[in-house]
Amino acid sequence: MTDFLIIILSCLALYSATLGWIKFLCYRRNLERRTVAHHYGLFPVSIFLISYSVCLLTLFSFTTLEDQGEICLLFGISAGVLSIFTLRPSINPRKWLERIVKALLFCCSGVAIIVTLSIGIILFFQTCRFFQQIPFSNFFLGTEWSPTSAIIGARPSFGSLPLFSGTLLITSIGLALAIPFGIISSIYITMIAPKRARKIITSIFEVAAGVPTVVYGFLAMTTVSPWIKKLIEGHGYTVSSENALGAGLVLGVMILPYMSSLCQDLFKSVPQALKDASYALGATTTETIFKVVLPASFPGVMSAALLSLSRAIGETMLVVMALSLTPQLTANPFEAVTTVTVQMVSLLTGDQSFDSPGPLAAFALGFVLFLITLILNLGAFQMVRRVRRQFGND
Amino acid sequence: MIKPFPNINRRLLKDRLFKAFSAGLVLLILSLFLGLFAGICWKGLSSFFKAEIVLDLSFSKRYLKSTDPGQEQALNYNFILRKALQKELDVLPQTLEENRELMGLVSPTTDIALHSLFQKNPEILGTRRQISLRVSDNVDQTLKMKILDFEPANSLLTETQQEWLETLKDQDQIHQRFNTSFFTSSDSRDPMVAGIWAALIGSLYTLMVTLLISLPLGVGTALYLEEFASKNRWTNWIEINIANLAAVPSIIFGLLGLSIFLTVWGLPRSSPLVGGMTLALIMMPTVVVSTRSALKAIPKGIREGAFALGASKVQTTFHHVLPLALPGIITGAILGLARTLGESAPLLLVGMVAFVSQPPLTPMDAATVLPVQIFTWARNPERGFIENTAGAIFVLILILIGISMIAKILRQRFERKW
Repeated sequence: MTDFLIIILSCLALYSATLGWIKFLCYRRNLERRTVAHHYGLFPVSIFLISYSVCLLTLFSFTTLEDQGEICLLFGISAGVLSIFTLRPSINPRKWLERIVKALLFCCSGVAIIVTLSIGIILFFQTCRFFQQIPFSNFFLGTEWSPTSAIIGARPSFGSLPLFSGTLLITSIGLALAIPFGIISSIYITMIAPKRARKIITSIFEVAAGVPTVVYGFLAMTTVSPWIKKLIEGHGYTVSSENALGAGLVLGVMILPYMSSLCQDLFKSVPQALKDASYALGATTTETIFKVVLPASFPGVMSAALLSLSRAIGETMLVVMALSLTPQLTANPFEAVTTVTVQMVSLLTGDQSFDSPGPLAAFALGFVLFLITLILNLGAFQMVRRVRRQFGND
Repeated sequence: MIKPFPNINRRLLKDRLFKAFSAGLVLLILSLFLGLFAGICWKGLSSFFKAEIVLDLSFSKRYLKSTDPGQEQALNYNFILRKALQKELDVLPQTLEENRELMGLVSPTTDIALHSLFQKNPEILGTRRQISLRVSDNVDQTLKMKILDFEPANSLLTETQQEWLETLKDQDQIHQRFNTSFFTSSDSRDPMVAGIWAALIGSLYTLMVTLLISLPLGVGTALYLEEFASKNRWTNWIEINIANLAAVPSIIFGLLGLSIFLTVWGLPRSSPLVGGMTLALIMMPTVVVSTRSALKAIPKGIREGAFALGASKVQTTFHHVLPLALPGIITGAILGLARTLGESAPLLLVGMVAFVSQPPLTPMDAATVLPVQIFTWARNPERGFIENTAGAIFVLILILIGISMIAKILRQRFERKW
């Protein structure tokens, strides 16, 4: 905390010192000041901050972070001296300041790319380390998943098929609920509902979309799954209390507002001229919806479905709470399954060291998940772009 | 002659049927949402009330643990408690088992509560006081089930305990009190005294870090894309990246935080600093999108007017465009913050699941956040924790609704139509 104070105070000192310095220079040489006074102060301060932070970053990227107060102080003083002596009455600080601001904004925009790249690189290298220990085919084709083998001495096995089948089962149950309901509800909201009802419904949907996923997980865990178990066991079947159906249904309810809001934006962006033309030809509302609006926005609906799918695949808290850790290669929705994200959480919140295959397997799963969602997202963006071009509001 | 509309009646019927069908479906969805959340709120409300038992305790000097004046004075609280219960119920337990049954009526953390009471007012030494104490979790749950007329499959209390409970109730010594400690105390092993204070403070610190990082970055990116950059391959690439980051599963960001912030940079594990930095990456795309739409709403005339008066690009942006866009930016940031408040998956990976019984003092201390607290409580098998979970969810949802109301009011008040 004191370090920050020192830096701020020295910036202020620098600011006032340079203002005085430039005034003195201008007075001595009989010069008019070229720009607003505080630019002369801000210019050396920004030079100081930039050179100081570049020095510190290079220092700490080569050495470990230990007590190196003297070197830091040296850097600070030299940066201050540099920043004062770069300033002459002849230069135009405003021009330079604007260049610095532009460069800073450019760096901000680069952060998004850096984050994506660093995610990709880190996951890739950790996955490579994982595959040095576990063969490729075992991971993608194996059907047995036991990262911490129960019997001491037995080798852990990393066959990820049951995990991906579990994820597939849950997401398909969820999407089977979310996609049709989402499309129909958004049609109702944008095309059919009276204005007042539209306001109420959209505000309820907004609240439901903002509810955290832990809450849905709690619902699935304490209400829906036990209820399904009770209902089905009444008919004489055996049902796991952590069944896939309960988690999948709640997942569908969770994604529904998201899907619905995507579709609402889409149906709103269908040009009014298209709808008017359809009405003018004597079509009813339903016919307009099915023969004009839906076909026109079909690629958009597909992209909304892809985005919902990528969201459902990556959903974590809900499945961590509602599902168990038992991997099973099954398509029976009444049995307990596990998903990719559940296993990632359980592997990385344990006490194993990062070099053992367990946590590395979590990175490998994460890499596959990242690639899948990346492909889905890119596909969705491509489709959205096509719709925009078609409607002419790109 | 051609009839103008051959099967108009059938078409109109179809139209009406579809409208009714979709309306029914939306109604079903709405009732589903309302029903689910009403259920949680109903469950959560009961956690705000906990039973207390009034006992006549004697703080006699005989029960002092040591008479040495140099040492910190402490009483044998469990002994005092047992004496009081024995007197009240008129029993004399013989075996260890019976003793445990008797002490099972009050909360296991009672001795800690009594000790802090004794330290605050040492003058109670040598007096008798009527003091109301927390009952144990099992007793509380049994009492609540009686109120709700709900018979559990297997009883939480033994038969003798139930008889004692009836006696105490007849003597009017058990009351339901509003549970203020749920808001002022922190996590505990005992559901009767566990609260959400530490989690709230942890959430506050985490969100502060998130806001401090993601707001400048997001606004900077949006300003660059909207005001400075020309449309070329680089900006296109940035846009795709931002849209992709908004849709990448949040747990992937947890992996990033784990391997860069914790392993490479060596920042403290389970601290709000690391959690906030991870969440900032998740929140940044939201800020960028809302800031861009706020900037797009500012008419061109403002910029051209500034240019005409001789302002440079940077001056135009920072003196005219940005202040006008500020209400929109702030509204977007608040809504993004509400979404970030509920995020928990990436925080699990950076170690914010630790048991935290003290609110963090700085952003570098170990902390937990409200949704993660909900997660850890929900995994507890004890009934009292399930009830606490519902209570914490109730609080969380109230906070979220409050935040989005504030954003809505801000938008209504400061929105300008050009």
